[in-house]
Amino acid sequence: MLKVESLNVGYGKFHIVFDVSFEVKERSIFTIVGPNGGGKTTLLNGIMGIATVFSGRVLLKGQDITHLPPHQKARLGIGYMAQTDNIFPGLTVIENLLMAAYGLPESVARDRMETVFTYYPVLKRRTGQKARSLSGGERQMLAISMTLMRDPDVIMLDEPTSGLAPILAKDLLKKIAAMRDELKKTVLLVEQNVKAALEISDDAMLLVSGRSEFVGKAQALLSDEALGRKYLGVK
Amino acid sequence: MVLPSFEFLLSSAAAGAALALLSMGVTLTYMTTRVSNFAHATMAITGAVTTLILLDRIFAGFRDSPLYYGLFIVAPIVAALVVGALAVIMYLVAIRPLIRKGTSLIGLMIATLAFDIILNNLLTVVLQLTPAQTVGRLLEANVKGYLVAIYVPLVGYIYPHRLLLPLIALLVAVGLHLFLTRTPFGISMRASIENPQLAKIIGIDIERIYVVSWFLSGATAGMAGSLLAFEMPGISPAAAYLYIVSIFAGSIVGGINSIYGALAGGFLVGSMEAIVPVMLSDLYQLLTGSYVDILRYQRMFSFLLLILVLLVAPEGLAGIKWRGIRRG
Ligand SMILES: Nc1ncnc2c1ncn2[C@@H]1O[C@H](COP(=O)(O)OP(=O)(O)OP(=O)(O)O)[C@@H](O)[C@H]1O
Ligand SMILES: [Mg+2]
Repeated sequence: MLKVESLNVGYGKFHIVFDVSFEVKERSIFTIVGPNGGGKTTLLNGIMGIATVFSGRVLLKGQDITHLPPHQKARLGIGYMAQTDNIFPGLTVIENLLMAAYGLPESVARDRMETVFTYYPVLKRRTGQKARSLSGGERQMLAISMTLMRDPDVIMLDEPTSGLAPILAKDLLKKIAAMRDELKKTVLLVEQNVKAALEISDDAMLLVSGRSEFVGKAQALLSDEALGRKYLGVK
Repeated sequence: MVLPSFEFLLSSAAAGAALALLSMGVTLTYMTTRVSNFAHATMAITGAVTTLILLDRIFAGFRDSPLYYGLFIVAPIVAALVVGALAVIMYLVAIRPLIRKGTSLIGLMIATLAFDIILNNLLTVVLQLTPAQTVGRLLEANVKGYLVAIYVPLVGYIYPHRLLLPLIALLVAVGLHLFLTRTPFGISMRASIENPQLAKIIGIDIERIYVVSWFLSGATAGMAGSLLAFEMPGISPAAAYLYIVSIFAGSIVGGINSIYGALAGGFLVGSMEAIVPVMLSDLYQLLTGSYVDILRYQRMFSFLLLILVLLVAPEGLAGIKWRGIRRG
């Protein structure tokens, strides 16, 4: 579904991600883990086209989308929830959601919004409210809902559980598994909650200092004691 | 001191309205593309020159028909379209390539200044090519000659075209508000201003928004310049260099990052510049019996206002917590 071939990514002159290759299969969860500053966010930004891609290719359903502008990638079917600044605080909840479906017919956008409200009923009670007045957890819900508004094939989530209470984090990971199993989505996930994330994942990658130290089955990474101890604090 | 006449208040309101439109335009392109456009005043003058050419050359055949008066409505619209297109060209040809190359904000500012100088000189050439001896006289003969004064009881004679500027500024303000809050495109403009990167990620083509914002900025400048042509004694491209200062003063008084603030700031600065110097010179004459033309120092007052506002409210009018003040 989403294929990355020897991608080199950075910002301006800074080269941060080196020669990374992997494939996210249809209806699977692919999780990227690794220490802070390892380049996980930069890699996702490169795939989306908001960081500089020096070389390599990104293929979506076989089509080379490497150098398409980000808004076209979004319209082609990649939903990306960024790690930070992933909502518009000055817009109301409803405006945030409608913007996330910008360009789609109004009736479609309204339908999607109703669907999203069934996952997160709290948002329905906040529609007229400015997003800046939401709680941290509610903001996270809004951000995830926004990535779903275009009904994308591929969903990229950058640390969606950060800042959530442990119970809510666990619940969210369940919801992500349900996105794959029930909504038939393909998910590219970045997580610090290594153990819980790998448990719901099919495949995984360990990214350290911009280089991939491991690509393979999530289970294999989970049970690799040497890597686990060295980079992930997993016993 | 003599009470200001209605006619005088009206022309001050027109000056304020023109500057409200112009400050708003400067703020708009600053908020979307982060460019301080120093060519904005010259763009307004381009609107004035377009109007002059339209009325004197292109519409000249209608001069003896009552239709000619209606062309005073058509001219500002044509001027708006012409200058709007010019602003888009400036953005696409001069600004966007530089932004893509990573030019600093200062570099972009200088680029607008370069564009300004080229445009300003071109206008001077165009005006010299018009066979009238002076632009002022041309305007006197062809534009002012068609202006009709209407007698209003208790108030005296007023020129109805004077109402046009405040009225249009008000219409633009209301229209802009509805556009930004009620239409998907307007909301996407606010979203792109707030966080361009997120706007791109969720599927908004922010390049299109930038182009539209330059068009709107240019169009409002062209319209303001066109309407000002009826107010000004003559059209001089060099006047842009004084005018740009007031435009930025209005934008900064309004808070730089607020479209509504710019409208308010521009109106305040523009009408102050018209009213305060005249009042002061009247007062001076009353006290000393001698006359001094304080109007020549009118920009001084916009800057006094600018400094005062920034001292009291560092983020301009838009930064003041109006609701908090009302609650006490
Ligand atoms: N806009 C930028 N310009 C230059 N360097 C940047 C920029 N953003 C991030 N970096 C650098 O890129 C490196 C990788 O950062 P990145 O955010 O991709 O890491 P990460 O793996 O997502 O970390 P975390 O787990 O903390 O989110 C860091 O050294 C960071 O300082
Ligand atoms: Mg990160």
